[in-house]
Amino acid sequence: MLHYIDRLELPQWYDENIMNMMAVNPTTVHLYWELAFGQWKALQQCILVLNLYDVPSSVSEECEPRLIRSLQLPPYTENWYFNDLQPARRYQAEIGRQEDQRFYSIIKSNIVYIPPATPLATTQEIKWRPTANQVVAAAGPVRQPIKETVQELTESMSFYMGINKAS
Amino acid sequence: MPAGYLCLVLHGHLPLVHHPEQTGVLEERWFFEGLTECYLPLLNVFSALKTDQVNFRITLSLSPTLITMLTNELLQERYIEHLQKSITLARLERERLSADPHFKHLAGFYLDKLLEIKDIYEGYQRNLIYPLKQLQQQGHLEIITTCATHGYLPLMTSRASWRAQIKTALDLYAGHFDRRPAGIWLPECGYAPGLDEILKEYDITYFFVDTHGIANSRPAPVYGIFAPVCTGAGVAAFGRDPESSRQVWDRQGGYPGDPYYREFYRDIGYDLDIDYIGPFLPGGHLRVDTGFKYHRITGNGPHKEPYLPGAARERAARHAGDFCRRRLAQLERAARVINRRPLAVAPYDAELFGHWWFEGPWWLNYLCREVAATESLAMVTPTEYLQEYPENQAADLAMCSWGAGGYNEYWLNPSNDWIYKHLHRAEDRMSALADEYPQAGEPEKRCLNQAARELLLAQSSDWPFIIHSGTAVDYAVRRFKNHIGRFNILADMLANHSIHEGTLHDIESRSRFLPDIDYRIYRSSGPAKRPACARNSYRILMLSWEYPPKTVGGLARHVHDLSCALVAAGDEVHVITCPAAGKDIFSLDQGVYVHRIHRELLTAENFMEWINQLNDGMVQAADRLVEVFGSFDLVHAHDWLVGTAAGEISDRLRLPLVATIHATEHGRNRGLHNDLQRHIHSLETELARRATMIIGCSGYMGREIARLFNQPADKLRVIPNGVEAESILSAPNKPATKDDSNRNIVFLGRLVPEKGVQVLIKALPQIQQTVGPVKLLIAGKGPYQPELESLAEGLGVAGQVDFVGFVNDDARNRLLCEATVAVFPSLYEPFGIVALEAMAAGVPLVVSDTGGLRDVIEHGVDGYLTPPGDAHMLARYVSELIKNPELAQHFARRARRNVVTKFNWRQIASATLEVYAEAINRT
Repeated sequence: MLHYIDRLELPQWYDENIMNMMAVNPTTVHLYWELAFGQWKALQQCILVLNLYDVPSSVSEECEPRLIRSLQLPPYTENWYFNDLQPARRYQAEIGRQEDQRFYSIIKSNIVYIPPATPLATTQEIKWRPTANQVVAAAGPVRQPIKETVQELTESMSFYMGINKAS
Repeated sequence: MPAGYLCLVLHGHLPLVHHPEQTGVLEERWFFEGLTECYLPLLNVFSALKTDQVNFRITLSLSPTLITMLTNELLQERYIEHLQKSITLARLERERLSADPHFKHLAGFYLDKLLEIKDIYEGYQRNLIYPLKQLQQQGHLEIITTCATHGYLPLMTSRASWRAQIKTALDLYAGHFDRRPAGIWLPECGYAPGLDEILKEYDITYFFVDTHGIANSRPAPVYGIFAPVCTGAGVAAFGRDPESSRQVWDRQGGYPGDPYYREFYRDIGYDLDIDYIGPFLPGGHLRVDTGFKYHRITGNGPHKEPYLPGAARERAARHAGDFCRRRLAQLERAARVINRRPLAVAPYDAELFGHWWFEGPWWLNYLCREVAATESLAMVTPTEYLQEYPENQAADLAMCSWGAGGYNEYWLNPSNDWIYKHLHRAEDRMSALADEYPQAGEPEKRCLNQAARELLLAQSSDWPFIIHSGTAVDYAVRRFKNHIGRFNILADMLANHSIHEGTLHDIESRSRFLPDIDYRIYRSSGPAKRPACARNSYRILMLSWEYPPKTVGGLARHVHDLSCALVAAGDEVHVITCPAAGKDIFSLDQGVYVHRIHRELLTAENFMEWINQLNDGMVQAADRLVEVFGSFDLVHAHDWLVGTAAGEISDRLRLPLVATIHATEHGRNRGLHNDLQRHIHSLETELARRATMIIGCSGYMGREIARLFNQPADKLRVIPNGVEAESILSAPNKPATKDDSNRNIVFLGRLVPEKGVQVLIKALPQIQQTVGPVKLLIAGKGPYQPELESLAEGLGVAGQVDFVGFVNDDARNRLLCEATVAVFPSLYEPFGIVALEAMAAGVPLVVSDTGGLRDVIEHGVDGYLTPPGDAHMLARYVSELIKNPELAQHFARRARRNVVTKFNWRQIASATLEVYAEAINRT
């Protein structure tokens, strides 16, 4: 017979409002949530709606979060994947319910930035920076960017490490 | 001179699998197999190379869990027993094969190997750290480490967790190798923005990422992966060369798939009769790999030919030559287009060599010799490379990993996503405990340290990896549940102030790991270190029209708290400000040099003229200060009132100018309606134009500044305001009660339309209808009070609305203590410091979803955000919190924690220093 500390189980419920979103890859996010018991009980009979917003970055654009997905949650759902999103954007999810023609928002997730899927196409100013803790020596100017090599690298990506999705 | 460099990196890691509490645990064999097949053969290769004076360089990453197992005496003992048993089997096998015409040549093959392995192991006194350390001292190996339990960093939620995974690993490494590692192997090459800051905090010089981590960085890397890039924090990121990877890793086209190499999936543990092999299998019957494999890959079909060691060795030599030639060709090609010696980084899991790819150590041996003999190719370690090229292209890396798909999906998918709720909850709880026990005594300290160990062990990337890969799933699930379960037991014991010694002892005995761990690494505030980009100290000239004791709005408090925090961070801060009753023209106030303008200089009656006099006085004062104290590094101005002086001082003294714009005239008045407002707007525009960098206190303000003053986004930074949570008394945790008699809704602030009190009064009837009797306490003064009073009258709620007038800090704290819920229904709110004060006081909050308030509250987690101006929705949220006191208490607890961790001045000073560094860089 195992000692009880060697056969522990996970708590079913933490009795707190949590809604956490994580980036899966440049087009997918995952989120999970839990509502405090009191609130969950009150909402048991309700149809809950899950919304996903595209959130503009803090200083670069002036516009409100844009609703890009909305769906009715099947009962007892506690996590979700949103696929086919636009890479290199910020997202936030929300759960709420429809009440007398109004949307009553219950909880929002953290905001998640999903990474870009491709190299940057446009040229930006190149700066050089010394590595901290290293003695700085003069670095010469770039003779010619090796764009074709970067391109090749990207194209060969599906092959390496047996991470070929198709294999 | 070489044309280019090869940086070979081997990453050695196994999860901590050690069960002192029982013998014969199947999974302990992972470590034994690793020793026999991989670590000892590799060490043997290194020794042979050294003996033959081959000049080789390999970067070897050893995980803290592997180091722990390599140095654990009980495991060393158990390994010898395991080896002895294998040797017994090898003797039987020699006899058996001697009579087999097809496999006769392999009789004794494994016996010889195992005897040699045992000799080497005993020769090193069973401890591999000594010879490895020697190889490092001789310059052949650069040994680095990885995170404490190989936790997958991009899916953790807190910086404290990053710190704990990294710092405890570095400490353990230092304990064994008597030095700090130069670089780190991020588990699964998992990188997320911000990690570089933590690495810099711990003096880490470099890390590795996968190819696309470099290729997709911004700006695009001009050298591709043939050189590292340098992150914002000044840490070098080396990218994996995909060609080197493909040749070794790829199952079809890679070297390990050669038909002459040993077939991994034919093992006598499965092939032979149970009566014969049973005694060497776990439990006498469980069919597992024994390591005795006699076939070669042959082809794709099921038929396998006998293994021919000589032919396989010859292939390994040939493949090493091929690898070397290909690297050379690749690097020569790259060298033609870049003006430095290109680098190919070839990282592999160490366990590939010998375990999965039996001939891997031979290949490595031949490769090192081949490269050493090739004049135009040389092996380097990352440190050597950075010594030659310390300056690299500045680039920002996005989140990436080397797992399938290149991001997080191997560790986050429907098979294993269920673990994260528990991990994140434990991370959060661990930090809360560390904050709660700044200096724990015994036995709390032991309990906290063990909780930290259990969390770290639960975070091991191996559990979601194994669960997803589908082998040994039960073991991984059990381990995960046990670590989370034990963490919860320990945290509960601490929360209940009842530590059961027996339980604590039992849990400790299961995971003897990281003996020197200090749970305080989990404190949310982090170490008091300056940001990586900032110099050790700046001399800052701070301009603010008000400074305590003179306080009109929140500005004085902000400049004071920021200045004190900067002084604490090591900077010298001089504030020039207005005269104040009872204050000399110079004072040293909590380390801040406060210089006040002579009262005689400020004679004007007209406000704008008075402002001009103030600014003139500031310019003169700045000149004098330079004479007395020497030159400054920058000027930091707060709002338009000091804008003219800031611009002039910045020009005259040639100093970068940082401007914090706390609010705008346009925003305050919702437009510009008269000449004065237009004039102030023009002063604000001028300040924004002249500033090198602008700070706004919320995302909303950042956007407003960019739009109103037509400023580029890259000049703007958002840094929230802070609050001294300690100065605000937390409301005692009121028992959750539905008692209707004593419920108060509290508002604090100026009584002006933009604060939205009218919306709250309009919501009151609906709130009362939903929850019963409730009182609204309105603290503050302002021109809008008469309108608000008549509104309450008109709605028939005047009896329940109490205008309590202006309150000082003490009265504010008392009021917050009495609040059931605090409401800030602003229509315009650049930041909303008062919301932070209510959060710090532990009062549940409903605030408008506008301006800076949006950045403060996490909707539905620590408070509610309601659409501005919508009385119905406001009533709905306020009622929800009054009706559901348990939920309100959850919010309040969470809010108090968030305010302490996210809006503390130390954090804000650190973010401000980053802006200073950038402003100085730009000028």
